[in-house]
Amino acid sequence: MTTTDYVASLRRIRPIGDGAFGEVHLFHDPVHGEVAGKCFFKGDKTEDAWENACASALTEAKNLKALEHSHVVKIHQVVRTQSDDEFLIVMEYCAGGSVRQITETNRVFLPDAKRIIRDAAMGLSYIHGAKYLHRDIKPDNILLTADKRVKLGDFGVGTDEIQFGFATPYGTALYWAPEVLVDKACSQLSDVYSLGVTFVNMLCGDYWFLRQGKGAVVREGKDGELSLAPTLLYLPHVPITWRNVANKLCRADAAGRTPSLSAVVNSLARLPEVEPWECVVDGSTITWSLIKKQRRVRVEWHNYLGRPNERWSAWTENLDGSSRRSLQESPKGTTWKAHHASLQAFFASRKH
Amino acid sequence: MTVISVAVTSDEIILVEGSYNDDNTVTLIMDETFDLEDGDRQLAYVVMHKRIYDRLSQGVEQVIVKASAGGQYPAKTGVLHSAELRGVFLSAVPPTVSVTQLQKSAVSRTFGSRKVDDYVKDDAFIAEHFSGYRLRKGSREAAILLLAAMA
Repeated sequence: MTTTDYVASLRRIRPIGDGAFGEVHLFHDPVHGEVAGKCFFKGDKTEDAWENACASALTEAKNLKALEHSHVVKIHQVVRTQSDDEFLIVMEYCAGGSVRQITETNRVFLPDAKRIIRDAAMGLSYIHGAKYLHRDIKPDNILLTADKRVKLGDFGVGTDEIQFGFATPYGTALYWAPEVLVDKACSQLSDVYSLGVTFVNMLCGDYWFLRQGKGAVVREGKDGELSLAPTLLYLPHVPITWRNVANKLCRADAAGRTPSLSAVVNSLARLPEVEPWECVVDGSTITWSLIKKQRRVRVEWHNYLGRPNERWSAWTENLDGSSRRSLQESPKGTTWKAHHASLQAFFASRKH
Repeated sequence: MTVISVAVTSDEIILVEGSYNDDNTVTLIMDETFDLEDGDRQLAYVVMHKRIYDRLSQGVEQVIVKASAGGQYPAKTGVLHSAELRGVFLSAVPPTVSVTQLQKSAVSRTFGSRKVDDYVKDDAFIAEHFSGYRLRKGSREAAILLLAAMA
């Protein structure tokens, strides 16, 4: 009996990411259209090492297949090149990019943050129900399709070792639970923690989340590694119910953390609806904008968190910027904490 | 065999999972609540449908639900919302899972002479028939459905 070598009609388009394992490229597949290919390269590996790497990649692919779910990246096939120097896991392409690309814009929109984290939690809950762990939840590994559906990607489930995901300039240790850093022990609770830090990151945007100085959300240790501060200072429009839920997801003490992904989804479900403020954070000013019928409500906080001439003001205006009417201003001569608190009170007092 | 019994209110679904023992008792595996999202109910139903489908896709063989029943008085919104959510639940059960719907009036007939509400309040009865995972008081009515379906 003869065997036939079938050839996959994949056409490489361009690289879209990389990591410790190799690279991710965008391909065109005649059936699926655009697909992502996670490429493992033989390079200068020995035959044994290469076979092991391929076996490990195949295990990851099988795990992904076992976890088929609407919020988990779908796997299409695995292929090897004829020259046997490249192994490809061909997966669904998420054209909407990653949550990291959202946090990098420094635009914070609470309804989107809730939806994305809730859907990621539902995917993760399914993974945990199937007795797997993700082990590397972070904004880079929560992906969005072109129509904004949420997908978990880049699993380290095929191995007992923590697997690094896509390269990120921030270092992933920030998203790891304290017990993972100390004991290297991943669990469902450590996945909860990582999702919690990702939620906090979304509620802040990268600039507010990573800045150092007064009220810093993350702090740099002696070894240069970043970790969450003991008390988290959120943007002032984030309601206290939301802050409490986020805080409980990423509590350092695992016993006090939200106990399961199902409980996480419940916590998020109970969050009250919020006004859909568009918040943009930059180096010196934070702005909020909200359309209400034919008027726009705007808030600007200049030189925030203790820089000279710190102040904020809120007003309404027509959509073309005319007919401005003041709502409230910051008290004069107060501390940065008082500015933050007064803004928090302003947002909390609004009825919607 | 893993069986889940369900109680549905207007804004939450309580799931009690258990397995039957030969001595007519139940070992509880899980007692959990699925909260309906705050806000637009239509959107919240979509999310709940997904959650229920996911949960019941993982090793559950049978589901027992308290059936909808008309009351003596015109139904208020809360009752209608409960019925809506029960419909969402029923439509989310995967085809591989069998569904038994029990009328409240028939629930206790299979294992005793008292009404269900009496059994729900009876700590000794609960302790005698259920072991394993700690059962919350609010989940007792759902748990008793497990006994009713066993008989």
